[in-house]
This record gives sequence, C-alpha cells and structure tokens, in this order.
Amino acid sequence: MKTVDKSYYNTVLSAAFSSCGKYLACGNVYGDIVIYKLSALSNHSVEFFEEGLSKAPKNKILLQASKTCHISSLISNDQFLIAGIGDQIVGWSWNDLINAESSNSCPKSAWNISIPKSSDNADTHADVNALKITQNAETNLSILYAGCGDNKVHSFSLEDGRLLRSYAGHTDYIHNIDIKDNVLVSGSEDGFIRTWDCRTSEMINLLEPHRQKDVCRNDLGPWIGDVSLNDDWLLCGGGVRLSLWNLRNLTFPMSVFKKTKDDGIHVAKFHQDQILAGGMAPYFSVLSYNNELHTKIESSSGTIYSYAVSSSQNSSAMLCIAGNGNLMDISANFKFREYVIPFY
Amino acid sequence: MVRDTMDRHPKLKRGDSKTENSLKILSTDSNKQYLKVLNTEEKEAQSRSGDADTTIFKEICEKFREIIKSIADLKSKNDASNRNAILHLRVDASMLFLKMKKLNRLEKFRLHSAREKLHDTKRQVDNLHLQWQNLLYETHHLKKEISNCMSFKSKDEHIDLIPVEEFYESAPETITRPEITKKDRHRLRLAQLEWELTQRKVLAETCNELMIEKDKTASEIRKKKDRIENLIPMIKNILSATKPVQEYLGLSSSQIQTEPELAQLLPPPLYFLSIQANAMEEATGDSVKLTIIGDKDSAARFNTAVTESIAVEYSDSEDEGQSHHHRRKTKSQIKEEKIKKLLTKHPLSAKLQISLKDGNSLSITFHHLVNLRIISIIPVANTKGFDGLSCRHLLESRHLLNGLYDKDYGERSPNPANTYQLEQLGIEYNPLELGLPYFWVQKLCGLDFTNRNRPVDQALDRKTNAEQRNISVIVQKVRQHFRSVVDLCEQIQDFEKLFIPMKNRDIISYPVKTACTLLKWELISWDRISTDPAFETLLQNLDLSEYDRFFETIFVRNTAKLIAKVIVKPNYPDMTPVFSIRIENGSKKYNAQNNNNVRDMEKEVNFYVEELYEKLGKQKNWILTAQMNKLAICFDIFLECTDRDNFPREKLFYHHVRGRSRSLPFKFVTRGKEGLFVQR
Repeated sequence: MKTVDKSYYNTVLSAAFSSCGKYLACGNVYGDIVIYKLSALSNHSVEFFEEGLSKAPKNKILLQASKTCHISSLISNDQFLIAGIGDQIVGWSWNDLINAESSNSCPKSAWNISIPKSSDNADTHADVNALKITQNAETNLSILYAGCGDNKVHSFSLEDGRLLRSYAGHTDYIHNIDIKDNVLVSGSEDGFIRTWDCRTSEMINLLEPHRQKDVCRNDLGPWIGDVSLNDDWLLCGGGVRLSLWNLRNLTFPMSVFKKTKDDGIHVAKFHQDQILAGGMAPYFSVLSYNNELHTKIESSSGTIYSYAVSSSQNSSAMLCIAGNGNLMDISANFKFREYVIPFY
Repeated sequence: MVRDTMDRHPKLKRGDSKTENSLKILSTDSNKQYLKVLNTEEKEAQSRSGDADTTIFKEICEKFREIIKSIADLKSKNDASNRNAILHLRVDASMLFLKMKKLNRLEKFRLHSAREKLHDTKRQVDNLHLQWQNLLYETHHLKKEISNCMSFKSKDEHIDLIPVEEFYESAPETITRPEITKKDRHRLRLAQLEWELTQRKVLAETCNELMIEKDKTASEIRKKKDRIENLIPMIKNILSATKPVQEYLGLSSSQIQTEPELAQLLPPPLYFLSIQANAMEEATGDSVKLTIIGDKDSAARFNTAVTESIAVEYSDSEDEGQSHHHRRKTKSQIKEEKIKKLLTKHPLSAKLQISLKDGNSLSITFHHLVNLRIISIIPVANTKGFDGLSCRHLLESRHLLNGLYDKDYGERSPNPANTYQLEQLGIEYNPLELGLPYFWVQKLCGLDFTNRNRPVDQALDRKTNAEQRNISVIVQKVRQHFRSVVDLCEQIQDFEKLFIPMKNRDIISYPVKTACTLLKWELISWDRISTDPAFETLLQNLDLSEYDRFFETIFVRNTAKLIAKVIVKPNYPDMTPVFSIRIENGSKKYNAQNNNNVRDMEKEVNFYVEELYEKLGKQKNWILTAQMNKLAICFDIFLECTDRDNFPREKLFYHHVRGRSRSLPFKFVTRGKEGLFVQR
C-alpha cells in the first residue's frame, strides 16, 4: 500500500538547543526526534541545507523515541536532552547522543520518569506539554518542572527522578509553563493563568485574560497557548490575544498586541528586550513592549508550535521555529529566516 | 572522238593513205613541195568563201554541161570538121573539170576544217555540260546535307535539367558564371549540362557504393538463409527422435499439432502470445480464453503481400517505373499512403477474455501494428449497471489498464524507432485509433524495447521485468486490477447516487451515526486540479498527472459544508485515494494551509488510511468507501469540537482538544461493543 509521504503531514511540536549551542533537537508527532549538528550552520555556510538533505547521517541523528506518542516537549541542560513523550519524561545523555552520531547506532535513554496517574479518570492523558529546569545556585540541585495533560504541573528532582511537588488547580490541560525566581506560571486550556510559589506549591495569583474585552477572542476560545515571565512582566497568548501584564498589577493588561494577526498564539516569549510570538499564522512576529511590530519572520509552517533559542555564551543567539510542516526555519539575526532544514 | 571523225571521213582517210603512199614514193623534195601545196591550198580554202565557190561551181557545171551538149551535138552531126571543134571543146571541158576538181578540193578542205571546228566545239560543249551536271549534283548533295543538319536532334534535349533558379543556387560560381550565362542562352545550357554531369557523376558513385553494400547484405542474408535451411533437417531429426519420448509421455504428435490453421497465420508476436495462452489454459484450466479474430484468407493474402513487398523493397527498390509512378501522385496522396502503410494493422488479432466470478468480464484485443513493429491492445470491459458518468469514465478503454504498472500509460509507442518514423510524417501516435501499446504488452508478446535510460524502464526492477514475460502472472494481475476497477465503479456509482454503499458495512463503518450527509460526487477534470494553487505541494508529492482521476465530493451538515477533492490513482487500491479538504462553516473558510485541524483531518483520511486498509483484510478494494466514511465522521467531529454552539455533541470523546497542537479526537478506539474517539 502506498499513500502520501509521512513527511507531508509532519508536525514539529518541540525544539531545543543543546546548552553548548552546537546541536538542535526537534521532536514531532510521529514520536521521532531529530538532532542536527549545527557546526556547519555556525560557520554561516549556505550549503547547510543541501548538506542536511544529501548527507543526512553526517549532520543529523534520527531518534525513534516512541511509536505511538508525540514528542510534545523538549528541553536540554548540560548533561541531558529531556523529552516529554506521552506520560513519560525521558532523558538522554548528550554524550551518548554525540557518540551515537559517530558510531551511527541508536542511543538508549539514560532515565525516564512517569507522570503519576491521577485516580479520578483512567483515560486522562498526562501529556507532558511543557518542560522547564531550574538550578539552585547554592545547592546546585536541578529541578524539572512539567506542565501536563492531567491539568497539573509536577516538579521532579533531576538527581533521582523523585516527584517533589504537584501544582493542582487548573480544570483543563496545561499548555505551557515558565519560572522566574521561584515563581511558577502556568497557562491552561481552561483559559486561566495561575502563578505559584515554587517552594510551597501554593497559588499566588489567578489571571483570566479572556475576561478582558480587549484580549478575548470569542471565536477562538479562552485557551492560553503560552506564558512567559521576566522580572516585571508576564506575557501570554492563545485563543486570547497576545497581551503583556504587569506582575504587580494583574487587573488590566499593559498592552494588547493586535498586530500579530494570528488565529491563536502557541509561542509567546521574551527575548532580551523584545517579544517573540508565533501561532496559527505563517510568520513569526518580533515585537517591542510598547506594541511595535519589529519584524515578521516568514515561516515554512502554517502554524508555529515550537520555538527554541540557543543560550550559549560562545556563539550568538540562534532562533529555531517549527510547526505543522516538515521544514524548520533558523534565524540568527531575528530578522529573517536564514536556513531551512528538513525534519526527514 | 578522233577515230570517230576518221570513220566519218573514210574517203579522206583513203585519200590520205593514198597520199601517204604516194608521199613515200615521192622524193623528200617533192614531199616538201606537196606539204607546201597543202598549206597554200588550206590557206586558200580558208580565205575563200564557200558560197562564192558554189556559184562558181554552178557556173562551171553550166558551162560544162553546155560543152558536153555542144560536143554531143557535134558528135551527132558526125562531121569531121567538127573534130577540131570537139577537141577544143574537150580541152575546155577538161579545164573546167580541173577547175571543178580544184573547187572540190577546196571544198573538201573547208569541210574538213569545219568538221574539226564542229568537233572541237562539240567537245567543249560536252565538257561544259559535264561540269554543269557535276555542279548540279553537288548542290543537290549539299542541300540534302543542310536539311540533314537542320533536322538533326541533339541528345541534350532529352536530359531533364534542374530549373534555372535552382541551378544558380546549387551550382558553384565556377560552373554557373552568371555574367556570361545570363546573357547567352547557349552558354547557360552548356553550364547547366556541365553541372548535371558532375552531379550525376557523384550520384553514380554513391549508387555504386550502395550497390556494393547491398550486395554484401544480400550475401549475408543468403548465408543466414542457408543456415536456417540447414536447420530444417536437424529439427526434423529431433522431432523424429523425440517421438518415442512423446509417446511414452502419452502425448501423441497429432495432439500437439491440433492448433488451428488460423494460429499459424498470426504474426509472430501474437503467435507467441497464443501459444502461451493455450498452454496456460491447458495447464491451469484458468477461465482465460484466447480467440483469434479475423478472416483467414485476408490474413494469408496479407502475409504473402508482406513477404513480397519485403522482397521488392530489398531487391530493386530503385525501380524506375515505380518511382515515376509515385511522381505522378500529389504529395498529400503520397503522404497519406505512407501514413496508412506505417499504421497498418495485421488483419488477425487475438482476443483474450478474462472473466470475473460475478459475471463481469474483460476482453483485451491484441493488434499487431506490422510496420511500427509493436503490439497494441484495446481492453473492453463488459460490465452491467455502471451507467454513471464517473463509472463510464473509469471503464473507458484507455483508462482501464493504466494502473497495471507504474508509469506505463500506453500513450506513446515503446519502440524508439517509431518516434522518428512518426515524426517524419508529422503525426503522433494516436492510442484511441491504434490501441494502447503498453510496455508490458510488448514483453508479454516477446518483444523487448527496454531502455535503461527511460524512467519507465528504470521503474522496473528485475522481478517485474521477469514477471511481465509470464502470462499467468499478467493475467492474474489484470484480473486483480479489473476486479479493483469494477469494485471502485460500484462504490462510485453509489456515491453518485449520494449514499455510502452498504457492502462490507460491518468492516468499514463505526458504531456511530453520521450526522452529515453526502451532497455531491462528481468527476472533475485534470485542468481544474493542475491550475489549483492548493494542489501545488500535493502535485509534487503525489506525482499527479492527467492519468489520475479526480472527483469532487461535498458533505453538508446544517449550514456547514465540506468540499473534498479526491485523487484516485490508476493503481487503486495499491495507492490509496488522497483527499484535499476545504471546510466552509458560516463565514469561515478552512483548509489544510490555514487550519491545523483540517490538516489533521486530511492526515487522518490520507495518511492513517493504513489502519483502515488493514481492517479491510481482503476487501482492499473498498478502501474508498472506508475513507469516505471516515471523512464524514471526521467532519462531524470537527464541527462538534470547533463550533460547539451550533453543533451539539453526538460523538463520544473525552477531550475536545488535546496537546500543544490542540488536536481533535479523530482516532476511533473500540471499547467493548461501542467505541470512542481520541486524539492521536
């Protein structure tokens, strides 16, 4: 039997740069993770795209992580590449992955954590939609936070995989989370944004963007696709419009961004003094805090689901955007797409 | 002439001879004297007039008569006195007589000289006459010569020369010399002839070369013929040697040779096919029947005509009479004739009948295009009840067997030589008229045009290559394909009547009601697909072409509408149909580009079709219905999840949306007797 090629309906749900900035990992709906070596790219070689196609084994590793589940989230730290696959969080050691590239074998996962099953409904899917890592500067302990399909955020110790806390309160699944200085923020399909105290798992604030006339979009629903925090501000978007809120006064939005012209926000991030946003629109927006649209980066996908920025000190920051397509766009200047690389 | 005059003057001669005799007697002095006398006498005769002498002679004669009379008178008187008188008279008379003699002599001289003169003149006249006659003759002869020359026919008039303009164009300057020939027609002609000569020399040379080549080929052919003829006794020997074996195996030779005479008249490729088909029929008892169609006599005539024409073509193709014959025809006529000749079909054709268990049958007629050297087929489906527009399109001869092998659409001739032949006549291969020359048909009939450079051949691996030579595999494949087409027609017929077919319902459908209804199913043209920008990526991904079939179907539920373009590849169901979906709900229009849920829906129907495919088991041909069913349910779910106010939830599912991509629950899982829909 033959039919449309697998890559035609590929959707890339997650992306993450390695902490060294040399590798880019992307996960899709078929349960595959692709890891690209970016050395060629950092040299600003234009041939990267072609090389990526023809000499695929040289520059990429294809990891078949799961046969049935999506790779909903990816994150990386110094040691591990961590993926949310179904109700599992799976970690691979970067060393194994890099060795696998040269030996051309399929690396085994280093560890995995199961999301605890909630007792009330057996059929609830605890998808791991969002992953975040914090590192305590004093104790040097890493904590992994997972925003899940069981409407909760769970935190795990990365040392032993122990469940530390669960942050319960949302009535629908968690789309995304963010952490800043012991404040955890979660955005959910139910239309609410909750901020939590990391250390006590108590809720600090409840934000309902869809109650705001300006922010609400009735035809798209109240859901929150992404939330971000920085020192003073909270950024959110989804079915509701992309909006910026002052953390000290969450009654009214500081600004509502209408220039993105999207049908739903899936990515809303702070980057330096800019705001990055993407979603159900064929481009990625770069905006200023005071509602100026800096650039529209054209995207190869119709809807953008995943976003990653390399944070290495050695090289300049790099942006990866992907979504419902086989192609992923890469930009180093945050102004236009410089490279297009295929997943398969 | 001198003798002649001598004869005329015998007296003179006698006299001459007398004088000569006397001259001899006379002394030389007297002789001189005599000659002197003769000379003076001659001169005298010349100086005197003859007429005067005549009168003198007459007077003398008168006087002489008078004297004689007087003598007679005197004598009669008989008187003696008279004697004196008589004597006197006698003397007078003698004197007279002398005078007379002298005159006579003179006269004789004159006559003689006159005669001589006459004779001279006469001779002169004769001479002149002769000269005149000579000249006359000469003029006559010259006149004749001139007229001969005038009427002389030069050979160059029979030589066909090229027209003058062409001559100036083609011939080199050294021959044409236009500065001279333009003025002088004769020089022009000469130049033309010269050019013709050089041309002919060149042509003669090439002719010779070709003749040599021809002789070589002929001798080769002869050698090969001899070899083949030598094989005959060997084959006969083998046949006779194998007889005991055949008898031992229970095959009498008569049984083997029961093949009808008609088969022997088949062209070799079709004969090859018929033998294979018969063998297969005997061996497997398969419900395949091969019949030979055509008139025996016309086939026999055709066969001999072909061998003769080949002989003519090779022995004296440069026959002048024939070429003249051709020249008389107009160009278009010749071309038409050539086209007709090139596209000739052998009068015999083989018909392969393949029937299905349900009574539908497929007959494939194999034609041999003698001069194109290929086999073409015309498949005809004998089915009942398929009268819808889409079905009729599917069952058309030229679409029926397109999907049997990849990229083998029977549109162009597989024989590479044909491309050139057809191009030369400015025509293209017309499969509607001549039949479909599929590649596998050629292989099946023992013809091989494999060319590794062509994509259609590259697509063949070794296995399919061998498979195409095997009639039983081909028949199996054709039957299977025909089965799939018939099943497809059955489904499409129902879609056109706007209901989802009930057959195989238990496998295909879900234990849920569909709320949307089928509103439309129609065939659409390739143009509408190829110009649709929404198909740009699918076109490449699926390698779409005009050989694929396209349909448009519409589902409705209340005000919402789903419009799907359905692509059915010729190798259905190996390649499953592909849907391209558009949804209109109120003022909103969704498609796979602007809405991920519609994209997921397409993915569900197009990509996850393998789940349906496995579920169908042996009923793979019903995949289209399964997909349509799935599409209807997906449409319901889409509406129930995205427009909850207008479309009450009827389907069972846990979450409207799930995951980062907010996907909809399109996947069905069974839970006991019932089932529910979940996200992937």
